[in-house]
Amino acid sequence: MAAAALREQLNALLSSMFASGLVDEQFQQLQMLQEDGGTPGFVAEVVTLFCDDADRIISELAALLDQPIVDFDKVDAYVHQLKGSSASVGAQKVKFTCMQFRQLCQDKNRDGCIMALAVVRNEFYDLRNKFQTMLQLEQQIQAQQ
Amino acid sequence: MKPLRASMLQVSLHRALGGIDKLHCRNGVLGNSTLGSLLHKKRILVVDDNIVNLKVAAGALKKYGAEVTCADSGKKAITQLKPPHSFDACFMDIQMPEMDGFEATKRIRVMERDLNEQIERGEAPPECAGLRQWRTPILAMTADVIQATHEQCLKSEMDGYVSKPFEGEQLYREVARFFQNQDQVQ
Repeated sequence: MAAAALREQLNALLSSMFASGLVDEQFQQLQMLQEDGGTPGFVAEVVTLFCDDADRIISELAALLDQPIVDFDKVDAYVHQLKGSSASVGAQKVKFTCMQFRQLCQDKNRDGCIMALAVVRNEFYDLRNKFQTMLQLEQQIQAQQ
Repeated sequence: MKPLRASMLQVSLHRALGGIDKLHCRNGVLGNSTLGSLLHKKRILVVDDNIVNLKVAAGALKKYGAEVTCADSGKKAITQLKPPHSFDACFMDIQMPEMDGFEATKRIRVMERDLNEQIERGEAPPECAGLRQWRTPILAMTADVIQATHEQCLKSEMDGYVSKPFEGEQLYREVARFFQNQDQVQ
């Protein structure tokens, strides 16, 4: 595919990510850091770190909520961490769900937490798919330059 | 796509720039005073247990020309900030496992006081020659303002706090406060 068409595809993807609220202005800040700071690969590096970290945290949370007696402090600590990383990359939907999730932890609401985990997992998988497509498109564009 | 937030940031930076430029003209100092000039070549330690946050905060500070070192725990921050050291300032996460940012800062201040007593007695190491007092500015980084009230920061002898992720105007204001004070002292 021609570079122009790839770029169009990338722009459409990014627009839809912003429009649907999947990512917010913080993600735009990261893109600007990369452009202005002359640090190629910065967004890719941060996004990859975020995805690996989130994936690990979601597995930990599933294991914790599966226990007969749930350690809500531990659950809360993991959700706090996920909330922090999602805020840093601008993963707005994941961040908002984490905020609700923390409230459910504080209420020691196990069923609520299990539901929140399901929501956060879906949102994260959706975001990760789009991030992966974004990075692939960027690589293809770069390869043609 | 027109980044609304970016343009707002630009406007606020321009506004801040205008205000500070007047001050600089008065002092006869050339050059603009954006975050870039405040942070250029400054050696900054960023402390956060969350690697994603660490990476993003470091990236933002590097963009402004700072030389950034990262530490992923309060304990490592203490090791790095045991004076004498070469850091100009530190950005410290508050909520960390094992040792939070408040506790780490308190311990750093104890080490600094020990050194300052040595300086007073004339027993200071050669790195501190000509120095009257050692104190590294430490800014808290926090996602929730409730958790880091100004009083709590002051009680732990921090110099202020910034939101996480950074917000341009606030970061500028906080950084300008201590780097400008520092310049006045020198």
